[in-house]
Amino acid sequence: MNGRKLEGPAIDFAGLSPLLALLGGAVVVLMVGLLRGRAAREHGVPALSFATLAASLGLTIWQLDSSEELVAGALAIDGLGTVLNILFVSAGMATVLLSWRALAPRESAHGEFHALLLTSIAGMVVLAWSTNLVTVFLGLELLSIPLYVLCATEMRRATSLESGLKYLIVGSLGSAVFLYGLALIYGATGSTDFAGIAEANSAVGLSSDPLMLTGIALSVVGLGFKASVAPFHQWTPDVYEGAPTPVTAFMAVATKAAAFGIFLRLFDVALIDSATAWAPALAALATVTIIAGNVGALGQSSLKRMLAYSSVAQAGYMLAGVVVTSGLGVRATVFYLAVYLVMNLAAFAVIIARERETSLGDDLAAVEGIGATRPVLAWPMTIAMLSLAGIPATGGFIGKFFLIDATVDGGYAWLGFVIVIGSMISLAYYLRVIAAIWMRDAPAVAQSTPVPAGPRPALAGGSPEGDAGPGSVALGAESPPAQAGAVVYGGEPGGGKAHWEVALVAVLCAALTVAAGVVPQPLFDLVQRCGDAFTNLV
Amino acid sequence: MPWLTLAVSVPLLAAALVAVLPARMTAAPRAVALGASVLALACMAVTWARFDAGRGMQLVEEATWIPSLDISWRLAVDGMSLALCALTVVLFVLAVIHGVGPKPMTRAAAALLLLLEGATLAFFLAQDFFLFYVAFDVTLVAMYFLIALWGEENRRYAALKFFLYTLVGSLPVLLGIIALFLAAEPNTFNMMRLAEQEPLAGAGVGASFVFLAFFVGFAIKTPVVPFHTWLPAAHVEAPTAGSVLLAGVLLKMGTYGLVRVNLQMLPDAFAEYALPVALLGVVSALYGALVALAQTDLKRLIAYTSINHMGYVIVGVAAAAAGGISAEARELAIDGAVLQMVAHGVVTAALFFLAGFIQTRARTRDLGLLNGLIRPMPVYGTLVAVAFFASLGLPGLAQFPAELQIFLGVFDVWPAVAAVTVIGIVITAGLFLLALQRAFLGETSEQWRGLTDVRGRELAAVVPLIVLTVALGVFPRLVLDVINSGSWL
Repeated sequence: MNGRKLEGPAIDFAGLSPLLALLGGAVVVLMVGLLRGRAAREHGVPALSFATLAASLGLTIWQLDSSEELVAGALAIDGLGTVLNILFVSAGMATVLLSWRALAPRESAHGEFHALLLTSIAGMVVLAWSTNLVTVFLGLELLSIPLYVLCATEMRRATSLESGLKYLIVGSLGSAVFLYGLALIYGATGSTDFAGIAEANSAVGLSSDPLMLTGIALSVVGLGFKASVAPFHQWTPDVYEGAPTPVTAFMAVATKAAAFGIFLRLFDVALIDSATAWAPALAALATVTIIAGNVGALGQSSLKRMLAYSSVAQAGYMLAGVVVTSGLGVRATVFYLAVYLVMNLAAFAVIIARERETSLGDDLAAVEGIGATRPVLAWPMTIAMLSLAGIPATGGFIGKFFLIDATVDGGYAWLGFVIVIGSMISLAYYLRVIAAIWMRDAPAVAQSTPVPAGPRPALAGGSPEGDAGPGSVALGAESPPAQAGAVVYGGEPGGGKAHWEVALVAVLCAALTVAAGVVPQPLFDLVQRCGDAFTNLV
Repeated sequence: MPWLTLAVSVPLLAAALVAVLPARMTAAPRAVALGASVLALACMAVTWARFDAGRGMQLVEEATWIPSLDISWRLAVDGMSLALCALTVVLFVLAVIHGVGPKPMTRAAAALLLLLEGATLAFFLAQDFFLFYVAFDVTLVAMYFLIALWGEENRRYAALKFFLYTLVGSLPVLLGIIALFLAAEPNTFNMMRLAEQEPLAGAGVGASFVFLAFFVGFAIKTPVVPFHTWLPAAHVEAPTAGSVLLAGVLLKMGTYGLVRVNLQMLPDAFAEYALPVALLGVVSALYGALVALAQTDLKRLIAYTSINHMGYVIVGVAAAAAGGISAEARELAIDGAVLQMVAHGVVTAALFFLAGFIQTRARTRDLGLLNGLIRPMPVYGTLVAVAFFASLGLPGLAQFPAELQIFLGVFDVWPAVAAVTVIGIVITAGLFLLALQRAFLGETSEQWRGLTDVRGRELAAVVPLIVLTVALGVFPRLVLDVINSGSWL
């Protein structure tokens, strides 16, 4: 886009408003974080971040129907952008709640923590809206650099620092490789604009051009690092395990959504005419990823590491949606991203709650026996695990069903088969968590309050027909634990250090997971909007 | 009135209701569960009355569910569905009467039973493949918790094994469903249209793969040897009502699927594999009987005879699928197979209840330890004798007409197979008589003299089944007229 001299490009401020709200909020939060009052820092800052995200969400919904170029073709707001934006901002709101009374912001100053979080989300928004190689890279760095810092925010814990450093090194390597790839693509097509690249590609036929192919290969590698696609996933378990858990939750869901957003835009729009070159390669990568993730998760006793490997496997499933280069594939991928977000947040919220209630950290032992003692946490975790494993009546099942449908429809039936095999393997480790929740008695040391544990766990207030309706989950989970009346949550001493907002996130996300499994149509309708970014696909 | 939808949704809604009941209402969960299961029974009774046996698939109830994937809530009945749903609602009422877990029944137990009932009915009534699959897997989750929470000593291991086996089996079914969906023109999950279209007819290797995907899933569920190893563990460790429902209803999902999907939608591929499938059925029948012969644990013994009895069903269905069978024999075989599913459900449910009663009294089910039980427990002994004789296929009791029809049907295509399979009946006869002799006749040792006879709730749970056993044996037409496979196959 060549604007005339001395005339700035036209800027659509209404369209940009969700992004501007985030950046403005980041500045305000950083300033408020400098106030002397403890309450302002500890409660004011999270409240302001939450308000910022809520405002951004509101503005996104306001802009939901707009589809236009912003800022001279560098960014565009369209269906994919707004839907992903909703995902980022929702993940951000959950993260703010989860880290409200967490250790990480206390150690690293509240203002900085939340400002970094908001900036990272802004980076994701830029990435999801970008229609130009330059803004892609800008967005990628804007999202990554704050995350490197966030990983290291529990400054007195060596593993947190290690996690930050590891992520920094691996992430920078990924970024560099990606940048190199983008440069080569520019070199081959002479355009940084997605539409221009697609045009040059289809006009000249660059499918066998070595420059183009190298560029594509390098950008696959670079994005592979970000999305933790095997064999570029080795950093994932270490970084997930070491980072403060709220940050891990955020990384797992939001970064994944951002990475897949750009996967879709870059490959299914700009490079669509080279699909014959990259689709088989991505399909192979998806297969490797599904196997590596699921096999890696088998032996893990740390829940965070297990979820890290599980996120690798899920990345493989979603990659299958990119491979098929069809509108169905795009919708399936975005649908899965949305479901992936809620089910993972539910699981991470439970891990956070148990980290605060017990001294067992994120070990599997921390959730042992919570079926009897903490049904309000046990049910969300159970639902999250069932959904991750793809059991019907949960969103995870519909998502996988949609993806398999897309692969079979797109001529990659064998990839659908791989997804099924992967799901079979994954049962082993997801069920292990469910077994720990319901089948074992709580370890005595773990409880901050003594809880009468019968020889058989009596389900208290739990509703097994969580599979039957979204309403019942929330109700079932909120009804007081009758047999284990000793447990109180609410952040008051004597009731453990559990906090209501963490349980709220867990219950809400679990309810949404079931809702997506029983009445998925609204989510389908939302995802349908992503189609307009892919006019080139069927 | 949408009676089928009501039959499915009443238990599901009641399950949700039970879960949110206040904990202090200790008698309420059982009352709600009983009320809901009786209502479901009533809905099926109305359906039975409205059913026209000559018309095949009927009473369709349809509503859009997920338009984006063209998925509907679509329920309908034919003879097979109706017979199995009737069995389901009866067994669930009895299971609720008997109860699961600690008394009074907890909210979780009531909710799980109702969830299981709703999902099971949805499975047998579903005419949309998506709903079919969802129901198939939800029954798994519910049963997993029933076994894992209130089972015997090794319940966790058994529950996990059950869950893993069946779920691993269900995933190929999912792939098969998607393959059928895409092969249909236009793409559809509508099972009635798929059965009409037979979309993979003449598709060669592709059809074979889809056939095998479904077969493996259903064979694990049934179970067919060599996929059966989860069954003895699950049955032995499950609570009494859990064993009853597992053997009585859940095993039938496998054979139901085999008829509904493999036979109705993939008849060409099935014809090709009919003999190997039949041979697997024969192996199951003989192997189940032989292993049962070696058991001393009463529950294990019944579990293995289930493998034997379901083997007959497999042989019958395979014979119906074979190319050379006459229309008459085909009808005989399928009528017999469906009747066998119902009869086995009734008889085995009674057997598992009876095994549970002795477990709670004598604290053992070991046939080597028990003896002379008929003296302290005459009523119990009589009930067991009837159930044993029914299970070994005595004429005049439920399983005889079913097995006879199956053998007549099979004889038309493979006389040799029929002849070998009959050996299974001889072995089961031997093992049941042996068990009867060991545990019930002879001297009563000191420790068993004080045992009390069955009474109250126990009688309420098991007597209806014994009555049904006799009724089915004497008037098999009661159910055969409804099954009437000629009208829908």
